[in-house]
Amino acid sequence: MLDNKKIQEYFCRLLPWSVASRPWSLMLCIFFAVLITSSCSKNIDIEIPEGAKQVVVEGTIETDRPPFVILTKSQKFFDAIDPNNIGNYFVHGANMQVTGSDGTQTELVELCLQNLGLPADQAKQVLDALGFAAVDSTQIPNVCIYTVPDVANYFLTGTCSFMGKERTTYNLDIKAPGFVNVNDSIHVTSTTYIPTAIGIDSLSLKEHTNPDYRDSMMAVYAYVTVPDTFGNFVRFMTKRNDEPFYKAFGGTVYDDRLFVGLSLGLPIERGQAPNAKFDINTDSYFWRGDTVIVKWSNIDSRTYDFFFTLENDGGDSPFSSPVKIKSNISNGLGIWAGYATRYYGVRIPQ
Amino acid sequence: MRNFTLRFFICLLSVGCGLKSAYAQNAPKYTLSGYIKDGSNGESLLAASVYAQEIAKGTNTNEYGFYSITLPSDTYTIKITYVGLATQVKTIVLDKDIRLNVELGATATEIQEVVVTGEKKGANVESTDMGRQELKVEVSKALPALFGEVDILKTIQLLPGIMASGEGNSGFYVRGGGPDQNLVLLDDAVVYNTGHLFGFFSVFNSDAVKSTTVVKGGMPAEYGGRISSVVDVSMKEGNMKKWNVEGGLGLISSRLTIQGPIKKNKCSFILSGRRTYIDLIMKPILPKIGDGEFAGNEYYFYDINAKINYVVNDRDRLYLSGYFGRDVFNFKDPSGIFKLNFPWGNSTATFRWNHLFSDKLFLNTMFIYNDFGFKANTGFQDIKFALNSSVQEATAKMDFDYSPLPGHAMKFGLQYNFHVFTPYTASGNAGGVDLKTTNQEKKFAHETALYFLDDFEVNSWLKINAGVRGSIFTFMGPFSKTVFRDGRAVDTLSYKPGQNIRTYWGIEPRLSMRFKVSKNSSIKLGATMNQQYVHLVSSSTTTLPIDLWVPSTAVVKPQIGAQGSIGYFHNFKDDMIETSVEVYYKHLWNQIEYGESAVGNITIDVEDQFTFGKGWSYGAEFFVKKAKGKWTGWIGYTLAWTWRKFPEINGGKPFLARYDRRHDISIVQMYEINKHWKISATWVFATGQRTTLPVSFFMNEGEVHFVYGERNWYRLPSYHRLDLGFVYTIIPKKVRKINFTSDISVSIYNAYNRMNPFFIYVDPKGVIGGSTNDANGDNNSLRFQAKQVSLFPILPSITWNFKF
Repeated sequence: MLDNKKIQEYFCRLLPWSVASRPWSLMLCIFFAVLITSSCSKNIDIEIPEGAKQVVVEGTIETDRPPFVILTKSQKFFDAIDPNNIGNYFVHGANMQVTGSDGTQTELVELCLQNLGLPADQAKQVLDALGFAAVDSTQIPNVCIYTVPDVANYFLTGTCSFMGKERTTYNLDIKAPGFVNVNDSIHVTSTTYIPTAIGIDSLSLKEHTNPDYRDSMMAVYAYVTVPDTFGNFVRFMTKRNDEPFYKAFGGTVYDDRLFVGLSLGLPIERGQAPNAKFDINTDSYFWRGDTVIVKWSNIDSRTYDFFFTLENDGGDSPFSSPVKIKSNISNGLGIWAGYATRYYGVRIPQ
Repeated sequence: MRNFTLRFFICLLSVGCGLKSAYAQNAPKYTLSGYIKDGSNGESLLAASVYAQEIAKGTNTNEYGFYSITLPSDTYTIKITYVGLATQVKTIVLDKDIRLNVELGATATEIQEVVVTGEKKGANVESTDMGRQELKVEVSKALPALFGEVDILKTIQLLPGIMASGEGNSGFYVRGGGPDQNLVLLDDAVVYNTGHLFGFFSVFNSDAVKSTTVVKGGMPAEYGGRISSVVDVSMKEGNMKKWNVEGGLGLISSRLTIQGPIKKNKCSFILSGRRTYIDLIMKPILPKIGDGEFAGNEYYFYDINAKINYVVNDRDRLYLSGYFGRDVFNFKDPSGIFKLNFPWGNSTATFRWNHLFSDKLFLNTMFIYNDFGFKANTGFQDIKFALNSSVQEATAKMDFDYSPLPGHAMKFGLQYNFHVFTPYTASGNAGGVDLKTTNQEKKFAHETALYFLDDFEVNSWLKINAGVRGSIFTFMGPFSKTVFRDGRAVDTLSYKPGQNIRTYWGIEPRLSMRFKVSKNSSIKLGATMNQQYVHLVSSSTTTLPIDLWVPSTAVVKPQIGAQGSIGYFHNFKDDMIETSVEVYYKHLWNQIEYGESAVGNITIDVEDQFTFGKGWSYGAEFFVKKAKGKWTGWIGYTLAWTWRKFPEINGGKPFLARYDRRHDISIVQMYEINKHWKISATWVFATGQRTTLPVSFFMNEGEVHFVYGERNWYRLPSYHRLDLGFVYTIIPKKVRKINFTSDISVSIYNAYNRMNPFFIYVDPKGVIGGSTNDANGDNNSLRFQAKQVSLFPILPSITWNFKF
């Protein structure tokens, strides 16, 4: 009956940056950890009101990469989820178009993993790239994606008919078949902007704060020069060795309110698989011997808002209110995100 | 009743009818005035009754124990009563102005019976007060308490119309108003944050408190600045007669109070302190929680109350009182990555000068300083962060009590406040580079108010309390602000020191009327309008140290509240049993909430994360109280609705507030078995709180995210709880001439171990398509489970209290 561990996990992700800027999060977490030693939690059943399903867009357009859009449906909360049947969540047969402010335009076509006949390792790479890193590659679900028709060229040669460019606005226009009646087309639109990539000046390494860990781990610092006008937003992820790019528990986006006009070094929190266990001692550090790649993208304010609200939703509790995730999708959910990306690497000595 | 209705309408038609009857007597008039005190310790008695039996007219003492009544020249039998103390009867030949100071002694039986209120006999039927209760601290002490910590704010939650903000919490909502709409005063100083440890304990140390007055509707004109209610807490003044030490050893804290005369009957003091030892208790427990990551932290709170009072002469009296309380949280994780030092708390200081100009005119002049603030210093790796916020207030206030004519008790006064609001101010340093602090400017404001009220007896059946309060608030420079749109700075506003940025004002009429239907029953009407210029917007239901008070500005408008209520009051069995029914409707304008997507980003001016709307609430309150005897207590029942409507929340549709509670029942019973034993029980029932749960989810980057349903669409299961209290008094023994008494107080919280809902969360486990096991060994396919968290199971506690 006592489920302390889980409640604690729910409240206690002692994330370095958020603890520094919001110290009460740490206090609440400890308070909860103490309280729950005398408290109980039990499973309850809740009758969820019927809500309309919505189209969910997960689209990216990155510098020098073709657009990728995953189109799914939102699902009723307590519907049982069959992991082998995620294919059912995808919206198939949509007409999709991307138009750049530079006058370029492309239709996107739907490609489904099952139809591609890729070898397992390549299929796994595609899944990793799409964020389905934890999927067992021997039971690949029918994941589908909308992209340019000649996407194969991109994977073979690194170039294709339509790729993202900095300082360009991209409109996304989707006509998806209706969920009840396929003839009732659902019209979904969005706009994003790929800003100028500012990147980071350099990466460097620092000792672990705790002497016990100095022989095994190091901190990676990004030295950045932040422009002196407000309005710059960053999203980052990290990759260790042959792992995919993962998001850090502390969040992936920063605005420039605290940093405008500064040159400074910021510790990079290590990205981890979403189902990894949080550990305060290792969270912000990388292991000696690791090859670390930092993916550093400048994004527009609406993309920042989406990820910032998404990563800070603590649900409805006595200590927080639910957060409505800000979306740039009209008539749907999700995000159409433009990234001005640079990659940086560092090898941590043994 | 028909006769009464007829008289009422005739009176309304003939303006001034009552005045005529009241002033028609030609005999010269003289004033009887003075102070009423508790003879055992010299404490002033609030609301003691002074009653001229021959003409059935009377008055009550004010907060300083002063009364004044003007009557036609005659010989009167004056009865001075205060429930719990022996009544005194004096024969007065009123042929000139007479000063009569009275000290009331203990009742002859010497039984320390618990008296529910300090009101005079029949006061609830006689007075114009609506929704007003005076609670003596002894009631709180007689009732069972969580962890044995006696808490006056938890006692007032047991009154109808006042709801607890959550399990074990001292925060409260009054008649559908928000928690920031309650004016909480300690010796006239506003207490901005009433809770220790996230509101689980109030800041009021019961040993230092004399009495508490709660006004939940029909707020008289002398109070202002909040739109829902008043909780006016008076500190003890210090024993004028003899030295006195009392204290207690409890499960989580200990208290010690020393009071006594510096010069007998002239000058006295009280000093009271309380400190928790949660830190000591938790020390061995913390390393066992989780993986030991909490081992390095300590938490405690303490508070100190002090007061000196000095009787200068018969006309002047000085008081100096203060409160200082702090919660302290220190954390250092075992690996040394985080260090955190986080103190927060209130302090108040009040200087008061009572001056009697004449027998009819009493003046209380006050200078008050109060603040609430928190500081936090954190760091990880080579980033250092210092964060603080505060609200500070300096107040000058003059309150006059004036009784020029028989049947009139007037009050008028003025008040000036200077406010300083410091928002979350973060200063940081990353590897030697100072971080930027844009939009973290202090905000300054003036607030001035004038009021006048007259509580007058028109005739034997009609009494009116009519008042008006005028208030003006100015948000002024220096102030500067960068205006952002989509993350870009689009404008910079800049104001010079003293420059008027925005002014608001309001006229706040207050009216209540009592129509006496029979000797022991009356009907009362009340209508009030209030303005509130400072606001607290919280995304939580508890008081958090980070709660940020903000002023009205160009963006934030003053909150306005209007309330109408009607009540029927009836006493039975020679006022042994008091009953009442009150019905109210309340409308609130310019209500403030965080926007639906607000995250509480400290780098954004908090007011830019607000959204504005309106609210309304209505309900009925039923109250039965047995005020006297060995068995005392009350039963309260509230039926209520609380609504909010915000254009930018819930798609603009009205929604029930989180603290909308349809049914709320409190049963409070105390019984004195004999000299040794007192037992008590409280039972509360409340319809479950409302909460917003997700109704659907979507995927992004392989993870699941929530889509919430309509605001507060889900109601938690009902809350009910029985608490039991046992007090065993050890019979006083004279040890070396010292009269040493002590008692052992046992509380059983949640006696039948009800698993009440604290909140519900949804636990999405796993990731889409996962099939390996996660770190907890769970199979990693995605599933959801709603879980209800319950906070306190059955919790017995024991406290030892002593006094000598």
